[in-house]
Amino acid sequence: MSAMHARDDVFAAGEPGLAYHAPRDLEEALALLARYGEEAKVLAGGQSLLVFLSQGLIAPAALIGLRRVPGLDGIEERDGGLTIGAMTTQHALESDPTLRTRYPALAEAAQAIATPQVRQRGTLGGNLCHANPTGDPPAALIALGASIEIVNGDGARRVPVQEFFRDYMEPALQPDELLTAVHLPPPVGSAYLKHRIRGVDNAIVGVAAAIALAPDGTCSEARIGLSGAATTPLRAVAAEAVIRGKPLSDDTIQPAAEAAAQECDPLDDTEASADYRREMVAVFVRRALARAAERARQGDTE
Amino acid sequence: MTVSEAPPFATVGARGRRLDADDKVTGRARYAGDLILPGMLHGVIVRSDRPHARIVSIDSSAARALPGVVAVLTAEEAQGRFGEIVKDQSVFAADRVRHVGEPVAAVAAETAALAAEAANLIETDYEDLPAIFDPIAALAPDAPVIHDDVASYAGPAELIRWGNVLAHITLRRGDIEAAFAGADRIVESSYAAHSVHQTPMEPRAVVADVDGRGRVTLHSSTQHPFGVRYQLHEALGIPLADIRVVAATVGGGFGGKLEASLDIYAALLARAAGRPVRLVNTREEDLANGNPRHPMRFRLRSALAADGAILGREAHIVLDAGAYAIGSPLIGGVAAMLIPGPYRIPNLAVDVKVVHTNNIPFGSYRGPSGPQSVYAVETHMDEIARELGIDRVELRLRNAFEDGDEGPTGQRLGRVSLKEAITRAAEAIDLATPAVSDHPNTLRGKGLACAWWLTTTGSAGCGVQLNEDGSVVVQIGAAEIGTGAVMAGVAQIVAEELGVPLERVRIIWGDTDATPMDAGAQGSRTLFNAGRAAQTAARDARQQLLERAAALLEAAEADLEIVDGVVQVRGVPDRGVPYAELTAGQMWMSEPILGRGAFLANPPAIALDVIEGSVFTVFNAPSFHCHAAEVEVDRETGQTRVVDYVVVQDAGFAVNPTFVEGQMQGGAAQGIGYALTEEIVLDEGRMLNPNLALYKLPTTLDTPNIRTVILEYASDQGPYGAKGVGEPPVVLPPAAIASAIADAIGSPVRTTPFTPERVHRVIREGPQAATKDFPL
Amino acid sequence: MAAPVDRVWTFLMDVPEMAGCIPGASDVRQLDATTYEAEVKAKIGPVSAAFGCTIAIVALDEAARAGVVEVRGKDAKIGGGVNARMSMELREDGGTTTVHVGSDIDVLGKIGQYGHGMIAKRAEAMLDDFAACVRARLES
Ligand SMILES: Cc1cc2nc3c(=O)[nH]c(=O)nc-3n(C[C@H](O)[C@H](O)[C@H](O)COP(=O)(O)OP(=O)(O)OC[C@H]3O[C@@H](n4cnc5c(N)ncnc54)[C@H](O)[C@@H]3O)c2cc1C
Repeated sequence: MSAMHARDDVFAAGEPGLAYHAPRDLEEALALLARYGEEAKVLAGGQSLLVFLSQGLIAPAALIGLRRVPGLDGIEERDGGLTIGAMTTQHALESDPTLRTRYPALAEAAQAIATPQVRQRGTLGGNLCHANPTGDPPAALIALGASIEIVNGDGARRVPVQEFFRDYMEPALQPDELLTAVHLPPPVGSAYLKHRIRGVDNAIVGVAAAIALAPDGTCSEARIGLSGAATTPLRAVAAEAVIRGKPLSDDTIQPAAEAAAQECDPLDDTEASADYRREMVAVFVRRALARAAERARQGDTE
Repeated sequence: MTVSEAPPFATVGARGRRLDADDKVTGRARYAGDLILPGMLHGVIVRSDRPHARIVSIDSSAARALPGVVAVLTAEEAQGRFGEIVKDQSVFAADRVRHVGEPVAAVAAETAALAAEAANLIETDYEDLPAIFDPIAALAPDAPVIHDDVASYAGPAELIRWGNVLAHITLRRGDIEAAFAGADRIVESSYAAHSVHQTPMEPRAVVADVDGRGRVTLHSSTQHPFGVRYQLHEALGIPLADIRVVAATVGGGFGGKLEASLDIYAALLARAAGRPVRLVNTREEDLANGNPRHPMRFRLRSALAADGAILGREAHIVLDAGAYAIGSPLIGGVAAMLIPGPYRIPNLAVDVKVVHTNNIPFGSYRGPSGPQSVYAVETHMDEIARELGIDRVELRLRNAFEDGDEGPTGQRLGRVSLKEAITRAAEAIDLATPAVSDHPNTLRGKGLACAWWLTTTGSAGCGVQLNEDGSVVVQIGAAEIGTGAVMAGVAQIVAEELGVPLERVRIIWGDTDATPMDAGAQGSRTLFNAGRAAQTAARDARQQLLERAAALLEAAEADLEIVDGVVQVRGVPDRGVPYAELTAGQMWMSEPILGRGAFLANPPAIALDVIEGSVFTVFNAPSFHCHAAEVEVDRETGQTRVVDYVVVQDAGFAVNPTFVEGQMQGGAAQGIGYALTEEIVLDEGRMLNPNLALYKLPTTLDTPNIRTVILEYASDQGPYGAKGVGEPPVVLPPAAIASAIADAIGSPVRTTPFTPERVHRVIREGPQAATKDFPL
Repeated sequence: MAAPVDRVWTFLMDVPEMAGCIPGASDVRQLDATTYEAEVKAKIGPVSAAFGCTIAIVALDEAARAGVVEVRGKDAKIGGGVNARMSMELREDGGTTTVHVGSDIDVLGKIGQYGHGMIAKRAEAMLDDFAACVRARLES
């Protein structure tokens, strides 16, 4: 365990066969990435990477730590939305007043991660790049309509968050690329709910919902992100379609929940069967939609 | 509530600080894995990856050729047989493996990485054999036979064994047929209970040292130094006198460190290499290759009178022993004793079959067979209450053991605390007021469970020496595994008897060369037995001090008293002599003060004819317990949260209430883990979740505040009336929580653990049959 | 499979040929009449394993067009392995062949405990890919 809380300089001291770099700016970081290619791993909070390292599941030649790179940290209002730096810790997300009131799905997802110790060091960018299908922030960001900023030596590109998750623990990143920021559009009513066995566990399923209401009270926009529902974080497109443009009530929410259960394809493992997960997707889509709708009605997104 | 010695006491009964507290909380305590000896090698065990296979060949030549590898051992180098009860184990599999994880070879090398590399180079060629993982299927006449002839292994004459059955235990009392014929109602139900791992904070660890003549000294994380020494002798043929086992600081055991495991391989490798060898399990190895709790199946049938009196009970129990016997035959006997529950049942027909499968061997875990059996019996009791329309508490009080009743094997019971325990627990949780949920998604329920438990016998020895400054050194063979039984309990007893402050006492424990014999930290026995030996030894030393003081003070011994380490004439404080003065001359002028204590408890007498096939037949110094729980269940997900929990436990006498409460709370938390989250998931004998992310120990977030009530109904033989307190608190939670869940959702849950998915299914579909095709 | 049973059988029994359809397999070498060696690479998320495998035909019934293949692999770097047993039975029905495959795959060691749910899914997918590849080769 001690390795998981190791500070950057522990690596500076040198693991045999493992070089450590602490670039001082983005340019240097990108140059290092370009140099090492597949042989290097970016080190953010280390909360996932060091587990894989200490278990011997991966054996990179170098770690490139991002902690000294300026400009990757912080939450900033921009264009009516928010830009969140990749190195922003999960603790910062859960305790940020703007997120808590205007993007509660993300604050709730951050708060649902593991333990205070993990959240103190774990970052948003690291969590997304780990691309665990049972992670919490991905579902919230899908619901919030986030996009992801990716840079390499040639420039920057943006991808909608749901396109970032290519396969099980495989983000859509090239070896020379860094995730630098997450952009959130203007807020709507949102919520994230997590079903897990113990208080510290990954999700059996997690559901984030975001709802915008038209003046007549019908649902003008709906997005649903699912955790634990497939081999990647999933956007419940069919469920969204069921409620979009409709008034929100049990009569529409229940069919949406059932549609989400239909479109997901969960894993069977020691935590839960795929069948149970599917049923829970329906339960939590229903609950999350109801809560997001309530928030949208209260307008506590502003 | 009687106490056998005259209170008030100065030190016992108080919340004294344990002698090892500072080292433990500051991280100074030295565990076996912390030891580094000059020239030390690193060992690793190579294990079978097959559940049942013939070994065609083992090729270790590449491993041997690897530079830095010092010893590679296989069955050729170690051919002894051993086993706790039945001699069915060999150090390495020679021609056949019977479970995943069975050792086939061991390697010692200059570094741990080299040892691992060498292990990976050992090629074992297997030919798979038909395997069986379900203990009920293993009983079928055409099932593959796991040991060609179980009866051929040396073992106690009592055992009745054949095929895959390594022990068939029967308990017969009264006239079972007449009981059922005369019953107003018959209730029948079946249950299945799962396996969990002891998961002490410290995995198994040992460092073996060896001298020029091959004498080995093991620094081991063990609960049972003398037991380990004997098993080593048996397994390796090393003379007993050439083995020394020294218990290092033990980071918890819970039964998992009773058997010699790593010790055998470390000793063997050290002797082969002529150098010290360190063998420390990773968490993964510890979880996957332990000897965890037994999976069990139960079919219970009770004959009842309309007023709730239990007239008779018929029970069929199957206990999955896994591939080797270890303690399973004895543990099956414990289960037989638990099936009637702490209730007066005049007619009994209990059958326990202890059965081999190709699962990992199951063994001792705090309260072995207890959580499973009490869960089954108490859930059955709740089903009876529901069937008869009798209140759950009422049903239990009506049948509860009382003073003068007989236990299942005829032992006479006295000072039975059960009814007080039931009443206190029911009051504490306010069982009379139904639980109500304040949220539409959740249901609430309350429940309770009762049990009785034992205090294991076995010998204990203790020496008490006084130093020249009047301070005290205790030599005791018992093992301090974290409970405080030695470092608080024994220390307090010695301080009490010698009339010195606790700070004057030092203890050396658990060393087969340097301390007297002890039967190990098992069966809730340490304080009861070792405490009693320590009491005797301290009294012996005290007597020697009094004699010496009487001569010096020219007073009659009867006129002397001891106050704070000073022997004085009663009522005349200025005519006194401190211990330091009595012992100051003991290097040249006087004999040393040396107290001796030895103890072997007398278990209660039983009626031998009622139980057959068992090596376990009586509950020595029994204690009685009741737990109560309140739970909240999410009606749509099945997720269960324990919101309130009460442990009422008879400790006989709480030598240190802080550590008694610690056992009650820790045990209850462990039992809550059994009930809700922990499970060894085996797939064809292979553990699918051998890490602490997937094997789910309860955390503080999952554990409620656990309230404790200590009752003190003194035992006859324990020090000051103390009884064993370590195991009972883990035994009841699955039952109490099952009772509360059933109260919340309106249906019993007949299979453990009560995961969200399982409870959800019962909410949706009603009670589920626990087990199919259970043979009667 | 729209191919006659004999053709399918011949293909499947030609291990180096057949191995071309095993996702990630390379370097197939014959050791003796019924045993082969191959390297099989597999990747799940950031974890890549390279299993040195022996493939043994342990039972063969030419007449019934049935066989059992055992694969044992070890990954030296990560410390893990794979044991697989696959039984195959071919049935012909008017020029098309149905291949019945039974498989029992155990992934061992560190690799195995890291998400067995995902591993099971991936193994299934590999089997599907294998089947698709065989079909593509034989139906063309
Ligand atoms: C005990 C425990 C429990 C956990 N439980 C949960 C949970 O319930 N829910 C949950 O969502 N998560 C959970 N996690 C994971 C946690 O959220 C991690 O913090 C997160 O997955 C990784 O973030 P990190 O900053 O620590 O990244 P690291 O571990 O440093 O990196 C993770 C991966 O991302 C890559 N990477 C990191 N940053 C970048 C970047 N900017 N650009 C490109 N690549 C990058 C790394 O190379 C590595 O491959 C848990 C972790 C632990 C240890």
